[in-house]
Amino acid sequence: MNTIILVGNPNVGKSVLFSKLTGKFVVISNYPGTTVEITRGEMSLDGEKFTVIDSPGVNELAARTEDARVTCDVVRDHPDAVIVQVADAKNLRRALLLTHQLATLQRRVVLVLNMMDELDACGGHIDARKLSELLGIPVVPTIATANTGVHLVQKSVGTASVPRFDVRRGSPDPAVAPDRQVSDGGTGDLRSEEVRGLETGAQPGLLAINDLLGQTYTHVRPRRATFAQNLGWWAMHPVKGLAMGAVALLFTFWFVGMFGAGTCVNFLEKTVFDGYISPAATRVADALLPMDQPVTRFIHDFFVGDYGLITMALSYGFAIVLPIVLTFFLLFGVLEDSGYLPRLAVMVNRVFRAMGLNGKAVLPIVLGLGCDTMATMTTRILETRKERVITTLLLALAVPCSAQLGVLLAMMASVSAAAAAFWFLLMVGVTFLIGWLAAKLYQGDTSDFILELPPMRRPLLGNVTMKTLARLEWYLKEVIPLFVLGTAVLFVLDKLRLLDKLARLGEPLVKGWLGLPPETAQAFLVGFLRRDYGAVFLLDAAKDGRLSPHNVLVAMVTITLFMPCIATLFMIARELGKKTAAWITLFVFVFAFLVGGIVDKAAHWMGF
Amino acid sequence: MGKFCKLIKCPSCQYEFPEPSHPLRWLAKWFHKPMTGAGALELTQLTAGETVEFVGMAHGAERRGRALAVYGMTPGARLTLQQKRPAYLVRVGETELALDADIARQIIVRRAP
Repeated sequence: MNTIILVGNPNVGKSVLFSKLTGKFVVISNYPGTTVEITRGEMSLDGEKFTVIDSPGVNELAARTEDARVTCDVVRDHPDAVIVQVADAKNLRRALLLTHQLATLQRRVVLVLNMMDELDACGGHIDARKLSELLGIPVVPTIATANTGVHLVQKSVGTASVPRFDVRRGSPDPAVAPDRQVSDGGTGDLRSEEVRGLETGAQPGLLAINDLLGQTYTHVRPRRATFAQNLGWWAMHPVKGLAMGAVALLFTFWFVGMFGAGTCVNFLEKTVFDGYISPAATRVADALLPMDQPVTRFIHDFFVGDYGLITMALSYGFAIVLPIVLTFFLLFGVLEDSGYLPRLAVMVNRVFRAMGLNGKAVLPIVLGLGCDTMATMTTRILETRKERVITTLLLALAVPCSAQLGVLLAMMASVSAAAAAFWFLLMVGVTFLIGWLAAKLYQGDTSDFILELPPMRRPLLGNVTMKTLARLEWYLKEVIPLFVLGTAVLFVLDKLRLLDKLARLGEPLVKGWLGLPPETAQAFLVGFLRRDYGAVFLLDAAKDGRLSPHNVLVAMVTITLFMPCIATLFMIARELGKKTAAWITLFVFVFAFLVGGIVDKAAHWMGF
Repeated sequence: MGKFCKLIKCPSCQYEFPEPSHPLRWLAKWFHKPMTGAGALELTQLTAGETVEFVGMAHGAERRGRALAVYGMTPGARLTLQQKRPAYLVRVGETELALDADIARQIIVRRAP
């Protein structure tokens, strides 16, 4: 079967084009590094079937980072594949650098000039026909998000060929000279004396590229900063940037914390589940499964008992966690598409330096607030192993995922605002302390901070909706089954009367060290499976009044520092190796109980 | 140089001197005078908002130079310095790049005639 590989600089729209070509949904965002692994899809054209491969963005075909390695490998492993190189039309020079590398590898290429609308908006123009003639390959202008030109991409796959880069061919053409004069006022790196100046000592590739640009790229309008551009700069201003960050944080807290965790959870839990579903399910179970026979009683309790599938697993999964996950993913999608996240990286770069990281690491960490498993995979965008290990450790330790955040927000309602603030500051403090210590202890380099900033864009409602739905589907498939499994384990343990024994076994740790009631041992037990589900048990105990505010704080701290979930553990093992995963896990659990105990003692001492 | 030896020695003339200590180097940074030729400047010497021409990387920064070249920062390209804090922000064509100050210090530019 024929293969097409989509290759290109980061954040140029490869994934958009991929989903338009194959009709398959992939997550699309406005920051470099959204795609960190390959996605395959199928496309049929004139009865012929093509495999289409979407790859992570690269600036050059060199395996500088893990995600770039993925692209290099896929290009090398498919020597006969047609390369559809997607380019940001505004950044033609950078795209041609990559085209030049593909030409050196003798690959057949179709060049797609994407985001033609943005090129137009900033006053640029590319003579695509002339570029096609000069390079000897099909050049297709597109606006992939608007589906413009996508069918032309499909058609030109058949005529793909190896690009030509002749240095001597294009001696300055007098006909294009006026255009160059105009280009001086704009981005203007095309002046002829510069081109001549380069002829001594510069690489022949660069020379040919300058030449091509001179003949095809013109800038007709002097650029004036748009509102979006100004907004983008404000986001990185030392003062305005901080203010914007604070506004973003407050809005997140209001939308997810107040609206999602408050209003929506209340409605779903109190009105829908406690009001209708649980009583109805109990009535049905009571009617169908009489309590007097052991077998039917067993089944009855399995569904609606103390550790019942409906009364516990589903009611938690849908009533408490789902609204928070939904509101968080919705807001997160908007943030991703706006282009704000890389600007946040600029703001925090200095602080992250102290932790042996650079600002780029803020991307996986913010992503971790959505899902730690996905975020662990995103650490691929970081360049050195040291950065990847430290970021993964911080994700596993102190970054609560959206599901857990939801439960924690609900727990905070039962403690004072001061305790909630203490919890927040402690988590931030732990992050910096462990990051700083890890940076001191772990040998290795921190990479240079060179980060490309995507333009600020207005998020598209359709894309944000699709993304939120896709992530919600993932949540339902991944998280709910684990909730069910955790409940089932507890149910069986309870029936076998092992739960009390386990509680006694864990008593020295849970009661002696953390000062919590012994039955909370089960919370930590399921916490091994998913820490958010463990938190649910603690929330339950807090609501029943079995935990004092002091206990709630200790429990919150301990469970937040737990390993996120079993899926994250597997992901760490896959990304960093089993040994590192084992060390991280060991450290995380020991550290969680250690800090929990210290908080207990300290809070007693302070009289809380 | 061995791990515990702090002497730097010239291989040809055998001249040797102790490696400057950390605080001394830190202090030297404040009095640092960039070694650049006629008309050439370090990016850090510009004020925000200036547009200049990229000349090349400082000696010893070739690897970083290659990392920057893929963003279109090649000799002759026009750079606009947007801001200097909290990180250096440079515009090359339609690409906006955020950089650390220690990279910016190695970028040699020339004010356009």
